[in-house]
Amino acid sequence: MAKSPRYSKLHICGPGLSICCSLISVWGIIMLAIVGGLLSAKSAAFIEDIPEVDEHNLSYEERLNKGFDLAATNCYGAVGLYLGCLIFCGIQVFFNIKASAMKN
Amino acid sequence: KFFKMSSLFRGEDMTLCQIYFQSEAAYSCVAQLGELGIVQFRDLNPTVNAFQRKYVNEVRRCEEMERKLRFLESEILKEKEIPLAEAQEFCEAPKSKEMIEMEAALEQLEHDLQEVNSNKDALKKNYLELQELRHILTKATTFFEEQDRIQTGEQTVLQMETQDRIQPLRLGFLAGVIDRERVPSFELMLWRICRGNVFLRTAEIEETLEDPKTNTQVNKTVFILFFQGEQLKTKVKKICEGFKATIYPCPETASERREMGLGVMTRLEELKTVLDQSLNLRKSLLTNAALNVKTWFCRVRKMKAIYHTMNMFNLEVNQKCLIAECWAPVNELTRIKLALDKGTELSGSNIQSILNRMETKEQPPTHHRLNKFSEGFQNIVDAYGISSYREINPAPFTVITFPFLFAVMFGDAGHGLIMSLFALFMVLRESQLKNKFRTNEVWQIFFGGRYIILLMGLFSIYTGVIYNDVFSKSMNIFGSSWRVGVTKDFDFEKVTVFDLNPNTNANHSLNEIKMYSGNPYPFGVDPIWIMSINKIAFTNSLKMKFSVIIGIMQMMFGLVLSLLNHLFFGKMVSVLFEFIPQVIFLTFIFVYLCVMILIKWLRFDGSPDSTQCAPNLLIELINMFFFKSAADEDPCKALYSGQSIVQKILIVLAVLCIPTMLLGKPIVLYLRHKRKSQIGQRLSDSGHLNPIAQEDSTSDSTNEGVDLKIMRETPVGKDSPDTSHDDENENFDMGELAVEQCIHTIEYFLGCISHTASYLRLWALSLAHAELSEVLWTMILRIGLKSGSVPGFVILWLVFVPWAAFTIGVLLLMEGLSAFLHALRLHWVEFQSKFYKGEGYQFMPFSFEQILEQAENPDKI
Repeated sequence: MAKSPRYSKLHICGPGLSICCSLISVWGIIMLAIVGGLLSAKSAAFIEDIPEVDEHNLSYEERLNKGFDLAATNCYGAVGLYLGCLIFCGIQVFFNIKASAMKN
Repeated sequence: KFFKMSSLFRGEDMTLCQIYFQSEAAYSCVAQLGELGIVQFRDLNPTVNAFQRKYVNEVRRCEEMERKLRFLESEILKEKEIPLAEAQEFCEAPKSKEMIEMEAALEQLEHDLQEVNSNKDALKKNYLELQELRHILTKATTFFEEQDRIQTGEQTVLQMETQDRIQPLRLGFLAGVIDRERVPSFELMLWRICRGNVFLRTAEIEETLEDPKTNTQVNKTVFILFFQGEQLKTKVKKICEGFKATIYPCPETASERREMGLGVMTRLEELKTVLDQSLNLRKSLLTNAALNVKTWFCRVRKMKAIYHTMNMFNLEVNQKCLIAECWAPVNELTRIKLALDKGTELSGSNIQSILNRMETKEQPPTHHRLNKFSEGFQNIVDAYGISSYREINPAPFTVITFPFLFAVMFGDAGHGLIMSLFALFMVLRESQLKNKFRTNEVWQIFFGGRYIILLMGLFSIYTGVIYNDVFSKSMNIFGSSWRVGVTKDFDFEKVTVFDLNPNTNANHSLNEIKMYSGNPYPFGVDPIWIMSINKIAFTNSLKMKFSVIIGIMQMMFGLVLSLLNHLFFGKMVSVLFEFIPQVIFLTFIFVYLCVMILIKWLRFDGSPDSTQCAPNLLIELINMFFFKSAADEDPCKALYSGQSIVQKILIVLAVLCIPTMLLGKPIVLYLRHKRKSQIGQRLSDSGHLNPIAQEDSTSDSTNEGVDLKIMRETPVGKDSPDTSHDDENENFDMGELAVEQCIHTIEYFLGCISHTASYLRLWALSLAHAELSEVLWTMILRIGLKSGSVPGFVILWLVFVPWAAFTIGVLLLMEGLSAFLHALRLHWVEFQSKFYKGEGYQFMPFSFEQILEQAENPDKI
C-alpha cells in the first residue's frame, strides 16, 4: 500500500509536540469553559479578575455585571480557539500514528 | 492464618535450614529451588578462592557459551531485518548431559559464522578493488588524451629550443584512487615534495563505494600522476602510500584499456553473484540462530546460576552427598520439600533430599511479602534502612500517612486532580508501559512510584477541598456563612476595605448588621476568605495548629508502635522504664498543647468580650515551664477553671520522667546482672552446670516472673534488635549501657520539642504552594481575563499556555518534589526515630526470575 503523497505534507508536527498540544488544548477547553461558566454566574471569587469598565454613567453594580460578561466572553472565545487547536492537533496525531504504522 | 497476615506488619518468620543432597540429584533439586525462588543459600566455603571451587570448570564452560551467544546476538543485531524471537515462556535449566550438546551446537554455529564473515570481508574487498579499477579505466582515457596534447605541445617547444634534441619526452605515470577528503592535502604534499615537477589530474567518482571495514559509503576520486624519472616515481609512490591511496596498474594504450575494462566487468558480475550468495547464506544462518538465541541465553544463565550456587555447598568426605545451608520462610517449608522431591524425581535418583531445621542465634534476614502496590512504599522505607528481623514494619502505615502528609503540604485540588490523572494513566496502562523507556532513569522512577503518586494526588484533592483551594480559587458549594453587611445607600466608590464583624449578636439599635450567620461552613475553609486581605494571617494560624496536631498524633502513634515492639520481644524493662516515661512526657506537655488548641477553638466565639480574652497558646506553653500563667493577671484568659493547678502537676510529672528514663533501665539491668552472677556462682560451686547459659534469648520475662513470652512465634532465631544488654553474662558492660541510655534519653526529650517544631514545615510548604499558585494566576492568567478589548480572547488563548506550563513545571514538579522530600524526611526522622531500629538485612532468595531480570537490564536500580 503506497503512501499517498498528500498525507506526507500534512504531517507537520512530530508525535511529541502534537500529543502535548492536544493535551493542553483539552485542559484549556475544560478549564476555560468552567471559568467562563462561573463568570457568567457572577461568582465572587473572580472579582479581581474582571476588566475595568470605563463607562461612568452606569452604576457600580451594572459596571460589575458588564465586567463579568466581558470576561466570560473572553473565556468562551478562547474555548473556541482551543477547540480549533484540538482539531488541528488531533489530526496531526492521527497522521503521526499512520506514518509510524506505515514505517513499521 | 494469623501469622500469614502479619507478613507485611512484622516480616516473615525465617528459619535456618540444612539440606542434604545426593550428588546426582543436587543439580535438578537446585534447579527446582531456583524456579521456586524462596530460599537464600549461605556460602559455606567463604575462604575458598573462586578458582578452587568444585564446579569451576562447569562455570567456565557456561561462560564460554555465553560469550558465543553474545557474539551471535551482536551479529544478529547488525542485520537489522532479523527480529530476535523472545525467549520461550518456560525455558528449563538444561540437564548436565544436555550441556555437551549445546556446547557442540554453539561451537558449530560460531565456527560457521566466523567463516562466512571472513569470506564476506575478502569478497567485499575484492569487489571494491575491481570497482575502483573500473572507474580508473573509464577516466584514464580522458587523461591520456590530454597528456598527448601536452606532450605534442612540449615537443614543439623543445623543437623550437634545441634543433637537434628532438627526443620525445616520455612521462611516467601512476593511476590510483584516493578518498575525496584527502585530495587537497594530497595535492599540496605532492607540490611541496616534488617541487612542482609532477602533474596531477583528478576526476571524482560519482557513485559512492562501500568501505568493507566500516561498512559505510565513502566518496572517492580517481587521480593520475605524470612525472619524469625514477626518483620522482619512488617519491610519489611513498606519498601515495602515506595518504592511503591505492595504485592500480593502468595500461597506456586505449585498446589494452578496453580489453582490461571488459575483463573487469565480467569479473565484477561474477563477484557480485558470489557476494550475494555469501550474504544470503549469512542471513539464513543468522535467521535460524535468531529463533533460539534468547532461549539459549535463558538456559545458559540458569545453568550458570545453579553451578554458582552449588559451589557454595559443602561436599561430604566420601563425595556422596552435598550439604547446603539456607534461610527460608517457615511458611514455605512444605513447598520447598515438594520442590526437593520433584527435583529428586526428575534426576532419576531414588534417594530423597533431607531438609533439617537448625537453631541459631544469628539474626535472620528480613523478608516482606509484597505486591506491586506495596512494593513502592516498602522501597521508600527500605531506603532509610531494612527493618530488623521481626520488628514492626512502618510500610503498611506509610501507605496512608505518607500521601497524607504530602497532601497537607501540597493542598490544591486542581493540581491534585492533574497529578491523579497522570498517575491513573500510568496505572491503567501498566502492562504496555512496563517495558518502554527502560533506559530512561527518570521515567523508571516515576513509573515505579505510580501508586504512590496516585495516592498523593487523591489525597491532595481532599486537602485541596479542605483548604478550599482549586488553582488558587475557592469553591462556594454550600453557601458562605459570611455576608458583607451594608445598607441600601452604601457608597461602594468611597470605601476600599471593609471590616466584617464576627459578632453574631448584632445590636440593631446601633444599626449593626449581622455579618456572620453563626453556623460555620460545613466542610473546609469558608470561601469568603479568598477575597479578604488578611487571608494569610488566618490560614497561618489554622495551618500551624493543624501541623502541630498532626505531628503530635504521628509521634504518639510511633510511640505506641514501640510499645508493641517491646511487648513482642518481651522486654518489660523497656516498657516500664522507657515507654512509660516517654509517653507521659509527650502526653502531659504536647498532647496537652493539642487539648489547649481545641479548647481555644471551641471556647472563644466572635462576641467582643470573648475575642479580647483569647490567650496566646505559645506563650502559655512557655509559661507552663515557669509555673506561670496568663490567667494570673487576667482571669478571663483562663482556658478552664483550675488551669494553673493542673498545669503545675503536669509539668512536675513530665520533668520527673527524665531521670526515670535516664537511670531506670541501667539500674534494673545492673541489679539483675548481679543477682544472676550470684546464682551462677552458687550453682557452679555446688557442681551443677549453669542452667542460665543454656537458655534462650528471652531474658527479661523468665527472670522477672512476669511471663509475657509471645508463644505463637518460635523463639528460635528471634533475636531482639538491641542485643548489647543480653542475657550473656560475659557481655554485660555497665559503662556502655549507661552512656547509651543517656544518649537515648537526651535524644528523645530534646527530640520531642524539636520534632514538634519540625512538623511546622507542613504549614510552611503549604503556604508557599498557595502563594505560588496565586502569583501564577494573578500575574499570568489574569492578563488574559482582564483584557477587555476585542482580541481579548486571543490574548487569553495565548496566555493560557505559559500559565499551564508554569503550573506543571513549578507547582507540580518542583513543589511536588519538594513536598515529597519533606514528607519523606518527616517519616524517616520524626516518625521512625520513635520506634524503628532498621538494622536488618534484606532477604535475597536464589530466584531465576530475579537473575534473568538482572541479566536483561544490568543498569536497573
